[in-house]
Amino acid sequence: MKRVAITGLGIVAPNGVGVDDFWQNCRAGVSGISKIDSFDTSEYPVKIAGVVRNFDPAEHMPRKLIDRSDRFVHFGCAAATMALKDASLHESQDWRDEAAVIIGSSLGGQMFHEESISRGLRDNLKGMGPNSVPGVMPSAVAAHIAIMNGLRGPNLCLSTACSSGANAVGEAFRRIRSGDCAVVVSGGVEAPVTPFCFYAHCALRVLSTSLGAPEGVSKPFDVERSGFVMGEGGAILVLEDLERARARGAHIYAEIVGFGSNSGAYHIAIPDPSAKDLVRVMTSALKSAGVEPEQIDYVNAHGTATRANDQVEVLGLEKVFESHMERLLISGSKSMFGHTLGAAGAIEAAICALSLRDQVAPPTINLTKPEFRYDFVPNQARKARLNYVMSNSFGFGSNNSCLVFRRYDEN
Amino acid sequence: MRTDILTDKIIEILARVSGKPSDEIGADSRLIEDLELDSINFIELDHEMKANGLPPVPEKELHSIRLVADVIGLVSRHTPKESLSP
Repeated sequence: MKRVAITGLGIVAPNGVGVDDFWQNCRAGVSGISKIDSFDTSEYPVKIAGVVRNFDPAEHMPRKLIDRSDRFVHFGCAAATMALKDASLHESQDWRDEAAVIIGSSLGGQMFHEESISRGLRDNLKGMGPNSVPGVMPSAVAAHIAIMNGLRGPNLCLSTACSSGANAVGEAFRRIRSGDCAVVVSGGVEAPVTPFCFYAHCALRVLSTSLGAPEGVSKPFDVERSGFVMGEGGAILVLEDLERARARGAHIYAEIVGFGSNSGAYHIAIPDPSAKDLVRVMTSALKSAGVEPEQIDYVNAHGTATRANDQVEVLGLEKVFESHMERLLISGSKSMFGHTLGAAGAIEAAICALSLRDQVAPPTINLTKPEFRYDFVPNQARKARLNYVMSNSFGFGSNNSCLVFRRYDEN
Repeated sequence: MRTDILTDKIIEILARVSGKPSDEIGADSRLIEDLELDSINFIELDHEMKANGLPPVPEKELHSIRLVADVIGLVSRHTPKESLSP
């Protein structure tokens, strides 16, 4: 089995664009939640989201592609450009023929879809141009990343709701570990803050309708949580055969050592209250990593701030970690940037890599009245000895995944 | 529509379709070699021209042209004569 190194990161998130900006803000507990200003929300019960600001796709991709692709493609292509540069792979050519691209997205090109349908309804269908189909398809982002960078290996899109990004990184991990690929560009992207898609989530009543200050609304694991705050963004991780990365002198953030995925086979939108499936997925990831629960130092929780998620996730953690829960650090990063759906697992995988590099657990912000007595790293990041960390991602349709990461030791 | 207005309109549409700045597009620009239009872009061009109120041009004719000047000529040919007068 090959060891799997993370050698490049690219992040476009509501609380920071670029690894340095994003990570500095995560460490400082800076929220990226703000009022939506891209469309009129006066008739919406929710008016806030994790919106990406200060992002110019023209810095990362050609003008012609920007006009013909959805915002979720802009996030993905920009993050991929950043990640390949970060991995120092952007100028070399010898790896591209076999390199895979595996990207998760739950919803695909929502804005393209909505605009096409609106134009079609307005103009008796004739308003729809030829770019609707290639603009909408969820696989567009993996395709454009490959086209822009000449990556000619397997090209996959995983759409598994809110675990899409984590499943993409997990499948990329498997490709490297098995020796099928030496380099995989993996991650997750989502741009769901659009008039129809956003209202559809309001209609599902999963979003917080709190009218408080936007940056204080996302409150995972707090008794006053009131639902999730939707977010947009993306993260790309370059995964690489660790020996190959070492041989070329690459910087290694961390290793991915375990992955589990499963279905609770329970309900299309409600988690199984018994948490049996969550226990199984965490246990399978630990087994894949060859580590015991007691070896995990920090868990980046799914932590959406819905009652359904937070209570079931904590129940699952209690069953897996038992008495080790007393020593475990757990945090809900969605408190800072909201729930970015299919991007979330990838953004949080990047957080795990950065946590291990810098030996810092990022905080759960807005945690003033904790519902549970465990250490959720409230409101302030904390220096800690981190050797193994875990990231949970759970999606609609009882679709669960779990990744385990290890601190990289050059020796 | 006057010929110079028509030219400006077509260049504006071609700028959108090609992603090139309009001041880099002239009558002698080549659609494929200079503006890098692909077959989907030709469909877009047709779609945009219709959406901008230009007369429909038979698809076969659109695919047989090389230059921006040819697009202008083609649209002019399919535009009623009196509407080209000042």
